[in-house]
Amino acid sequence: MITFEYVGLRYGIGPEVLSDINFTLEPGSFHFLTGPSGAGKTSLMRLMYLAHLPTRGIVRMFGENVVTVPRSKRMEMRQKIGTVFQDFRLLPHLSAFDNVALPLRIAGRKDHEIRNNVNELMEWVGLADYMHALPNTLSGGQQQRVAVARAVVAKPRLILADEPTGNLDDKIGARIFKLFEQLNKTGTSIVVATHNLNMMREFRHPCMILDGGAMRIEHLGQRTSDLVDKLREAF
Amino acid sequence: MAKAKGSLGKAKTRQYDLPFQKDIGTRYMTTVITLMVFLGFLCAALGLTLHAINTRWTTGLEGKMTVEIPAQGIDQSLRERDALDAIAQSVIAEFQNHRFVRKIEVISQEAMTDMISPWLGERQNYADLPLPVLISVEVEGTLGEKDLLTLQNAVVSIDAASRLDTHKDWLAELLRFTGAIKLVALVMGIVITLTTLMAVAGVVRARLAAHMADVELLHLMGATDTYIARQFQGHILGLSLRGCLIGAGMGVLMIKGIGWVAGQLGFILMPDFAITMSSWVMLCLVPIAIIGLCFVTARATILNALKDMP
Repeated sequence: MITFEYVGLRYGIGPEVLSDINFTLEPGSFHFLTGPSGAGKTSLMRLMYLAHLPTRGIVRMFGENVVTVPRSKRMEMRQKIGTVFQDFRLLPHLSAFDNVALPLRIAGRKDHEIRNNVNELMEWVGLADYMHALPNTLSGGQQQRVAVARAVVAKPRLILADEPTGNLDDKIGARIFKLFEQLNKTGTSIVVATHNLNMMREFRHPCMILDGGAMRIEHLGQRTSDLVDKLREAF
Repeated sequence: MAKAKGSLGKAKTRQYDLPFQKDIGTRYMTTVITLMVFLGFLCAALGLTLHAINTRWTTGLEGKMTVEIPAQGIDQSLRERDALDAIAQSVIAEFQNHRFVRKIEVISQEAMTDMISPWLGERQNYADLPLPVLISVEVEGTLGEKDLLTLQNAVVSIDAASRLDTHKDWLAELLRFTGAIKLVALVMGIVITLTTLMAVAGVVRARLAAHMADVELLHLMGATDTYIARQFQGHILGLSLRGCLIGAGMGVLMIKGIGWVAGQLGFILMPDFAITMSSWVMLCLVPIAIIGLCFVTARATILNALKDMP
């Protein structure tokens, strides 16, 4: 699904924010991405959702080298990725319904299909009463749910979520994670960037830990407590 | 579908994925297109009117010439009217011998009076003026140099003071003059079009810069450059359509106004300013062409700018 080989990233002529990143995410995997602030989580996420191309190394997604594929192919690859942004990035002039419907419209789906899928999903995230509301009239949690709905509505093969439960109470947060798990069971790969140690402890998926621009993957299980303790120290 | 609670914050019908509606400068853009279309419309009307005038002049005088028998003889002495009439009859008799002369007649005194009265004012009697005798000649098609020379020699052999006027010299001067004005109108039309397109390209680039974060978001969702360009095209199409309609409307009013004023003033030197139906059709193409060019410019500008994004 995703392979990074000796990937480095720098902005302009600045220092490398990511150095020699190596990992492979299999189809249908579920990973947390964590690390202290400034470790490069957002930069790594931006590489994965193809907002940036690496300055060195190889990034393969869906079997293609993202640097050498034509731009048109990169557009197709992006349609297979659903992203939840930390700042939601909802379009302020569109209703909650139209924000969620956007990936389906871009993919050229038919109107009735869009209507059915969006209605069902809005109901599922508990926003059925706010279909026509503009984002700036919604609370932070409601906006986050709209952002999550938009990321999953087109049934992408990969979901990248940056702090998807940051503004949600535990109950709604757990519900969103359950949605991710359900999608994961149907074969969707999930990467969730988070600082939420409780979620990591509860859902026990492998953790991609970024620190000082380098990354390692820790598998939870017997060592869960140790890892959580380490992370707590790091944060 | 469930409804939002209350009307506050309820979204209007979705038009574009990008929030163009709130952009500053939308009215400015419409105004620029309106003025440019208005000016373009006037330039095109000027060009078409001059073209029609040229056509009327050239086709009206094609195959026609005039023999002028001046009141003064070759020795500058005034000649009697009877003598001039006798010369005219000789010319007519001579010309009728040539097969390519279709029609020949002396222009009557009344017709002469009609032609000169606008210049000299209404008079009771023009008989005391030393008016020439004019003979209107119509020939088949366009004469070659040889036949023309034959007729000119025939006129001079009858009366050395008389001459055959084929209208070519003064018509060529007029056509050169109107041609120069047409060229100026064409250059102005091109400048207006280029200015409009540059304004459109500038506005599109400004819009792109203002909405870069949203454009990037659409890209990240897999929107193609064409999809994003369609948003801008649609927006520019709406603005240019509105601007073109207003500009063309103002242009029509202006042309009608000029025609009305010209009619009231009664310009005798120029043929009427009325624009033919075919010219109106051509004028209608001006706003349509500008709308099309704005559309294409918006598309080309946005596609060119987006190709640098990852």
